[in-house]
Amino acid sequence: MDTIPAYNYVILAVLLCAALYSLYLGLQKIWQGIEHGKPYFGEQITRDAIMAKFNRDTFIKRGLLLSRLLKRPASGVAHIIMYIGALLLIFGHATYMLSFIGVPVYEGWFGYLFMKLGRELGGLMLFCGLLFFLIRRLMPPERLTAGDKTRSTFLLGELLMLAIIIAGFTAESFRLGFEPNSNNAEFIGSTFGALLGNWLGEEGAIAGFKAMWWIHALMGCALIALISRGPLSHMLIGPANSALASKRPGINLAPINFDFDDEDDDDDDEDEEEEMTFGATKLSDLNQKNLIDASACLWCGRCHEACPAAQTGKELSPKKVMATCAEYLEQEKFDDASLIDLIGQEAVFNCTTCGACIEQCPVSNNPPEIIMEFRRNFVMDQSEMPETMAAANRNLESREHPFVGTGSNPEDWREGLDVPFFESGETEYLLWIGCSVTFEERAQDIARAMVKILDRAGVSYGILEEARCTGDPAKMMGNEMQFVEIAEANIEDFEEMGVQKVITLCAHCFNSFDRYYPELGAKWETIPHSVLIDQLIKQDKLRLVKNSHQSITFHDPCYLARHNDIVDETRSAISAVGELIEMPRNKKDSFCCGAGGGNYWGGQGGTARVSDVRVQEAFYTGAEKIATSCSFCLLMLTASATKHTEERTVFDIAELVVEAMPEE
Amino acid sequence: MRIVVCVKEVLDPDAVNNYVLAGNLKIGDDGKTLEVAAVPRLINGFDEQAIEAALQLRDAGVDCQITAVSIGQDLKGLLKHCAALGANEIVAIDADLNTLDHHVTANILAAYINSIGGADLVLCGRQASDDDQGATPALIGEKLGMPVVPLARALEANDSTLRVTRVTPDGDEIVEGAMPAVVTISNELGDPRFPTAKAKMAARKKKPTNIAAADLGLSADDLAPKTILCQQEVPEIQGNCEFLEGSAEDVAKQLLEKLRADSTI
Repeated sequence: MDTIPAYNYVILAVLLCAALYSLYLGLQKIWQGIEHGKPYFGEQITRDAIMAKFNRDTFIKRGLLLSRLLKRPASGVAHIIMYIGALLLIFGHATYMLSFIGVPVYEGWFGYLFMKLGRELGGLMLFCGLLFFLIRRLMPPERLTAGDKTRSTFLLGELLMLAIIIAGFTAESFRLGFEPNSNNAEFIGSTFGALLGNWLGEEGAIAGFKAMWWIHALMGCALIALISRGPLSHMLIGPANSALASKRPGINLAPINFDFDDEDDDDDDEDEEEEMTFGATKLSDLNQKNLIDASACLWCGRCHEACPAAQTGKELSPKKVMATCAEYLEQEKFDDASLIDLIGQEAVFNCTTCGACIEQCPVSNNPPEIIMEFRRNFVMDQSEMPETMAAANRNLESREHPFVGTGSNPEDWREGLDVPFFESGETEYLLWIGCSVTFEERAQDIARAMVKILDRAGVSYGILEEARCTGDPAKMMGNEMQFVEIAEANIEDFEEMGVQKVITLCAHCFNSFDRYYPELGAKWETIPHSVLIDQLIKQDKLRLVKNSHQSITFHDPCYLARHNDIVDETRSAISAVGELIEMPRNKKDSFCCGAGGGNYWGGQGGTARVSDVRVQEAFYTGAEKIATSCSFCLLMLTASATKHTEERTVFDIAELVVEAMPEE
Repeated sequence: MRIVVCVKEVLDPDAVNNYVLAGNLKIGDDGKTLEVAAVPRLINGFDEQAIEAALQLRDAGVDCQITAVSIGQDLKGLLKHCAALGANEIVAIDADLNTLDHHVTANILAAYINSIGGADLVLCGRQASDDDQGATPALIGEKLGMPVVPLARALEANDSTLRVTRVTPDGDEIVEGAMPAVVTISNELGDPRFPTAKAKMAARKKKPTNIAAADLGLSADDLAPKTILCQQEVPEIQGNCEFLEGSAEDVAKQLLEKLRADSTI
């Protein structure tokens, strides 16, 4: 090791410090961009504020263990190989510094395992991983180029890293050329070293070593200096963003305050209204977390591959949305409102808010939270939306439910049934019917089935006298104001009635009540009907006769599985009535029915229907029946299934459970 | 330029139709009052389009003050919607709904318009979706001495001239004349806009001007209905469904024959 005189290390240490400073400056520049967003950590960024957002679970799993990357085996394994390789190399290089103070790091098993074999393998792993990515850069899978966005600057970083590794191995080979080593830990260096030693002689090898040592070191410093100045920054921002992922899965939309004190000075109010905008047209309207997402995005297109809109040929590509924001961020166009038009109205309304993209993103991005901000702006600021959604919105305002020209009356579903009304202090559960079950004929069967189940299990329940909506369609169509109006009215009435437990039949009603109502002051507990059914079966309050010959495949509603982690209860209930056969895309990787985000009322036609694709997937399983546990999923899948067969093939869990209830 | 838009609150026509189809629409013991507690009340669709017509004039650069006026009780929701759409002023006239026929309605509205010093343009929906009479706008025109242009689908205004594209069964008819005038708006105008959240928030704070019909200086005679509703009946709905069978060609032929036999075509 004395071949390199000490002053070289001093110079290198200075260069390394400069490189680290450059890394810091690069990160600072990224943060300065992010700072243009609306505060996410509160008015002041304190340690407590950051810790409040810290998600240990996702940081460890996704950030440190790269769990999300392994969803794609090839690139996942390549990442893991490089990651472990890099850790070995960083450890080896850092430990080397201890030798300056006399620690014999090269001695014994430690030296053999970490300083020699570890570094050798680390270099090899990094080399193999890089080779994989470089070759793939030449033959990219569709997702990398999807949405007409390809991150090109990756190549530079990859080539630099490859050059560093080659230089490292060359330097090692020169060293072993004049300083042969008997053990086989540095097997690559030994092999080439023997050849170089023979060829160049000792002096030649020493000169070569000195030159390559410097080349390797300089390029290494250059890499460190460049990490935060290009896509390689994902090594740091990726895990950081995973550490900041929302603790609740799915989409978490920030509330908007529409209440302004009437007693305020009128002039002030008018000023305030003049500046008031809703949602986002430009980067500075988004919050800082949204902008961290854009900074962390690598344009890898995993979201594009999972997105039901993108996969059925619609305008939306979540990848394109993220990449477009990232480009604006890079170009420092924080206040450029052309962003919303570049992303485009059609794309913004194509999103079914299914959250499939969120579930795929290796760096924990949340594209729908950004898309929804643009949608809020289109709806609330510009009054622009697809005509069919405008009609649904108008209906929500005038009739408080989104169905246009419904063929049903509010009490139709319970015709001929004796359904009790909720009584204050007497009834335990409020059975919430919701808009689609009230007004769509096919979905009415869900309520009829659920009433039978509750009666049989002896549950104390009651319904409201009038039909109501939670406001979810308004919220997810971007009409937050209408949602707040509907929600506040519901909360006021529920409180007056003393409602403490609510059963929902629709995944969207559940999500609304459970996720967004508490922000507005709701205190009751909500349970999806499928979860309650599962509980009743497990508590033996509901006896069922299982038909093992009946094969059933289950379509997970996005708003239960992906958004609320409800996957086991539904399956357990299905397994109590028949044999469950899984579709290829299931549980949290389920494929949407196409209804969410107001798209039940959307759809311009001209592209494949999301529900058709899903029903096809269900049919391929060979199952006799398709089950689901959300009224909108039921309606969408039924509409698609009837194109293939007149027989009823799509059922709600409650309907299947009623079928399996023995006669009394 | 002052535009007065007359709006009426009606029972949700879709809901009424559904009640009828389901056999749930009941008429009270007096034989004329609908039992409709559960039916939502909405702005008459044509009247909403009349507001849209006024807003389109404003969008085209006409400097105008839009007033939405309605008669009845508890009109806050209706009028706030008008304000959110873009009306500068909202006016509620309190009157006994049971005494309102189209004559009394027109008398009240005309008296109101006179009380504010007249209007350059009075816009009404072509008819209300509840009684479907479409008589009020013509009577307002008569009381105010203004020309009446019915069934418009587009308006253009400059200074004192109004150009109206009218819908006729055979195509458009364009007429021109001096204001003031009463124009009724037909559904061909297109969908009314969806108010922005900002407009809705501003509308929340807008207070309607409340006027009592009795204060408009109308005589007892002016306020006495000339027509009285005696009886209403729920139509009996009969559905006859016949399935034609055979090849597509056969079915088409049979269908054509049947339609011809019924003089449908």
